[in-house]
Amino acid sequence: MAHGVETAHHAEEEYTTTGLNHRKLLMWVFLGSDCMFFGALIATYMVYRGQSLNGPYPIDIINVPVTTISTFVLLCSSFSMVQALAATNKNDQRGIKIWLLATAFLGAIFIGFQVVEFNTFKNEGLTLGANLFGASFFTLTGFHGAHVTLGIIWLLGMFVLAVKGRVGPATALDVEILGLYWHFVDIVWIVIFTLLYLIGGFDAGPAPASGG
Amino acid sequence: MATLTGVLARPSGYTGVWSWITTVDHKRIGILYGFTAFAMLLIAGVEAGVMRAQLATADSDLVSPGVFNQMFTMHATAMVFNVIMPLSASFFNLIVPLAIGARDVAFPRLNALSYWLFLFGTLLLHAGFLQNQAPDAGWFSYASLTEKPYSANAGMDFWALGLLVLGTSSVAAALNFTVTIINMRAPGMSLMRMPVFIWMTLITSILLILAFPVITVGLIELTMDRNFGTHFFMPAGGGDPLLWQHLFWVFGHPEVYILILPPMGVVSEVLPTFSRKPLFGYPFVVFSGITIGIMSWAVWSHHMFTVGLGPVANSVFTITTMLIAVPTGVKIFNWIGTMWGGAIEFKTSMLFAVGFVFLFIIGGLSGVSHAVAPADNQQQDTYYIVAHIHYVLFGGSIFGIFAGIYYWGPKFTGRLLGEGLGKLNFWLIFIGMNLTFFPMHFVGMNGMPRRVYTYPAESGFQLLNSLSSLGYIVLFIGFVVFIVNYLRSSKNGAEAGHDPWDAPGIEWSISSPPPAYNFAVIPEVLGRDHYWIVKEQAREAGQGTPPGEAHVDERTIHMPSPSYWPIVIAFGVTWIAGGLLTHYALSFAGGIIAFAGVVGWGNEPAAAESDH
Amino acid sequence: MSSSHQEGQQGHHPTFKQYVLVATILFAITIVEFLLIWPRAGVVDSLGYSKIPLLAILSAIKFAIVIAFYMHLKFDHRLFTWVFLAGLFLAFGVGVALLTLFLSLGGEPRAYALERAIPYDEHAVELAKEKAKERAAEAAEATPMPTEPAPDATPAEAMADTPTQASEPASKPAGLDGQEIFLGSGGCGACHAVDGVSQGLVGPDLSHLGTEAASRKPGTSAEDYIFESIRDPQAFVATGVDRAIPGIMTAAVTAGLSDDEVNALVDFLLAQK
Repeated sequence: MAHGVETAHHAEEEYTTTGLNHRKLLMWVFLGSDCMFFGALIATYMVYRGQSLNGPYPIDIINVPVTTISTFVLLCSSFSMVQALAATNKNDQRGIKIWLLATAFLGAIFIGFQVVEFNTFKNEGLTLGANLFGASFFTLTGFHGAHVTLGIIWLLGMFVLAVKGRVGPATALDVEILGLYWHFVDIVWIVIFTLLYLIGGFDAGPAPASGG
Repeated sequence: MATLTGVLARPSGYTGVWSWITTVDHKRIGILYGFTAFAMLLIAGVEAGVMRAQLATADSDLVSPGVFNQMFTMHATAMVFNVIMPLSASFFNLIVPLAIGARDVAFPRLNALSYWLFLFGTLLLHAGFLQNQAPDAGWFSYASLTEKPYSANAGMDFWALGLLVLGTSSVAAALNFTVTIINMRAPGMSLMRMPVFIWMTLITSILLILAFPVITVGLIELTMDRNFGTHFFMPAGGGDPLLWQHLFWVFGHPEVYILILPPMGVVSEVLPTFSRKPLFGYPFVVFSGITIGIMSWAVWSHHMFTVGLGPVANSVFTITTMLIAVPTGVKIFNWIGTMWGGAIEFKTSMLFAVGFVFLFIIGGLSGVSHAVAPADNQQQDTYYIVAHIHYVLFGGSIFGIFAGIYYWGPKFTGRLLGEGLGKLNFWLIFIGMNLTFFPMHFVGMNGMPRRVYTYPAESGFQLLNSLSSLGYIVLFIGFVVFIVNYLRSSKNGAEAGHDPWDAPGIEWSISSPPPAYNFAVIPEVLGRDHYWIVKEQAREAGQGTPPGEAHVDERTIHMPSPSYWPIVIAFGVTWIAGGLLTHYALSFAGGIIAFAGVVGWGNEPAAAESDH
Repeated sequence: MSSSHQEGQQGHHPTFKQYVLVATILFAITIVEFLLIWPRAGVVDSLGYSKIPLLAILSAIKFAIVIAFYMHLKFDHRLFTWVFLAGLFLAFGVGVALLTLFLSLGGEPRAYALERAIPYDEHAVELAKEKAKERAAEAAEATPMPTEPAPDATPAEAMADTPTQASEPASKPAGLDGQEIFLGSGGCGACHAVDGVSQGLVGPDLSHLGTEAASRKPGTSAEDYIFESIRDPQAFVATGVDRAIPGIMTAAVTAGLSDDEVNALVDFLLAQK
């Protein structure tokens, strides 16, 4: 990888058969694997959609406008993430710190929305054991939230390195891989938002037997 | 362990228990995998012995039904997740870097993490025995039998959490080998020059990466049902037990190929070597492997023909299941074609490889017979199925692995395994295996159900069951002979030299055992059977056999340094899972240990500046 | 065409302006999606079922834009695209296959579940509340009791207390709620029916065990009989008890319960008159 700047740290990983970096390839293969993980969770939700035997049903408690706002927040964080990478490539030290922190902050706001949402649902009677909707909804969005939380911890770790001045063009790959993970979490949310909120958010009671 | 350390001793203080705990050397990790898995093989074998002793006579009450349930559950779970998969992983570790001309895997520390997660996950899975709460719901643990009201003790929690840890280990290892094979081949080794074993490793790794997340979700949902009040698989709460079956088999069928593809790869290396001919139809073997990998995703419901999916679903899965037999048949044809007209040399390794082909054909044919849904209705949950899985997993996987042990073992111990004891070992296992499992076809077809702890005398199953139990004794002696052979040859076996079989792979061009850095000079790969080409060129030039490779000053070769973070992280992760069984505070502590491990790992350069 | 990533990586990264453009498009699509389903926008009614493919397409576009530009797949090595799309398409395929398998099942699989559904904790509490009220009313009519449950007592307490209080108020193990154990950790409700609490069909109906228990085992008090039947169910099986699967209820089923928990269950079951 001709980054222009050679570093002792990564010198060992320079030669690869395909010319691609090991760690970046690892991240992409892992994301393919994570697709299957979320795929199975989403499949569980879709199979049980409209099959809850009792309320609360999605239409009773899902608040689409509020979640649209938190979706905007997550989209914004993806934008700030690409800016963090651009700043890293340009060795704009101030930019790196600002954009990394902004991304972590926006991610934290998204998690805040989720905490409030979970609490509200709990108070309205939707628990893990309440019905199939509760079980599959909390499991799916909960594991997505866990991914976001992990991403925030990673971002903050990178921010600490940036404060120490250890993030720059030489380590752009580290930021890029972090970015891949972060954007993946974002696109998973795009799918969840569409299926659970925009389409599934208006489901009521046991669905009449329908062909699809 | 001590003798092993001696065998693979590195200069400059790479000895002692500590060096094994912190090792990141793929060869040592491979050996750790191999020994752990072989120990598990013996444990799971003893469990099988308990079952065969119980079933030897009709109306036996040697063990209670409850103990019998634990035995068949743990036998199968251990054989699949703690024996065959890690034995394959052992071969991946030992062979892959050597066979592609690399100095190590792409992520040496991740490799160590995979092993420690595997070890701790295995311990967690078996911890239930300590409280007499071993899992007892069968290896595919159908809901709703696994739910709290029906499996009230903690056995199923041990099972689910143990498998989650093992799954993490497998995915980490598979990611590592995928990147290694794609990215670390020696110059000249294009994809179509890779040994078939490497191809099968790549396909297996990709299957693992994609299949394990599905069972992970299933296990998480099961754990939540049991501990957090959800009703994913509880009909009483609106859930559908069928979802568990689907999630399990969406994973489970690719898993079957995860178990058989690596031994297929081993056999594809052994057969050409001892037939003195290149593999017949190499591209067909490779592409049929890829086809199997893809099609393994489209056949899972053939495990569920009797649950009432309806005629359309059953027909579709009958057709796809019959289709997947085609690429498998192509491979068998190519193996036979490889032997055809070759100068066959029946070393023990070759005997096991030929045994593999022979027994796998029988297992494959019985497999096709229950691809047909109506026939399967008769066979479901009978000993016929038990016969089938043992012909493909014992006659297939275990025979392939033994072929590999006899073939590649000398590369790592430096000494040949005894041929006399080896042949005795083969014939005992071959006869014992057929004596144990062939009668099961008949008792199964006559209606003896699997997983039932006894059978009445008037059923007429007595004779055939006694034969099976007799076969177990022969098998047992066969394994003892192997252990004796291994111990004897590791002390005073014949020196192997760097190329005992006149083999085609690159790994035979370096000394046995290989140095820590594998290749002093990374080779330029000339063709599919690289080392045969090199030797042929040398003969033509009148130079005789090329020597084992030149030694270099190893301080000029920068190898990754040992690290103790992998075992720390693995320990933490296992406590996260174990804490769910005991107290959440332990989970939290485990999380902190794992996090500390990750931070330590991240701050430590892969290779220390000053060597230890 | 997308060119190789290796040389001049910087040159192929989108500029700041392009990133802003991409973000704007993503926001715009999200707003359109929201308007499509927001009842007050008035579009959703005229869309009907066509909103589902519409939303799916819009989301797919967002998805594609993020992976193409933010994750650089458009500019990067094709191998990355392949390994990622392999997982993505496989996940999609398996999901669609699962949905098809579940929806194309013959018969009415849900009917089975609906018949056997256990009301969830919340509903059980509601029912218990009503029942407790009824009982309190009945009790008040028959014999005015001095120790009527306070109106603010939780329904579970009310249920457990009312019948036993008169006879032996001290026998209730402190802090353990028999009904909770019955439905929760004990898992009893999965098999046993108790009016208004659970509807299990496997084991005997326990709705009136409080009145029946005393006469079940000669020489054994109702309390001891129930205790033994929980701890060691096979020690004594009363004649005439309707069991769907004899032999399924063993000591192992209840081994996980402490003696205090079993005592709480006994009290709860004694209350089922």
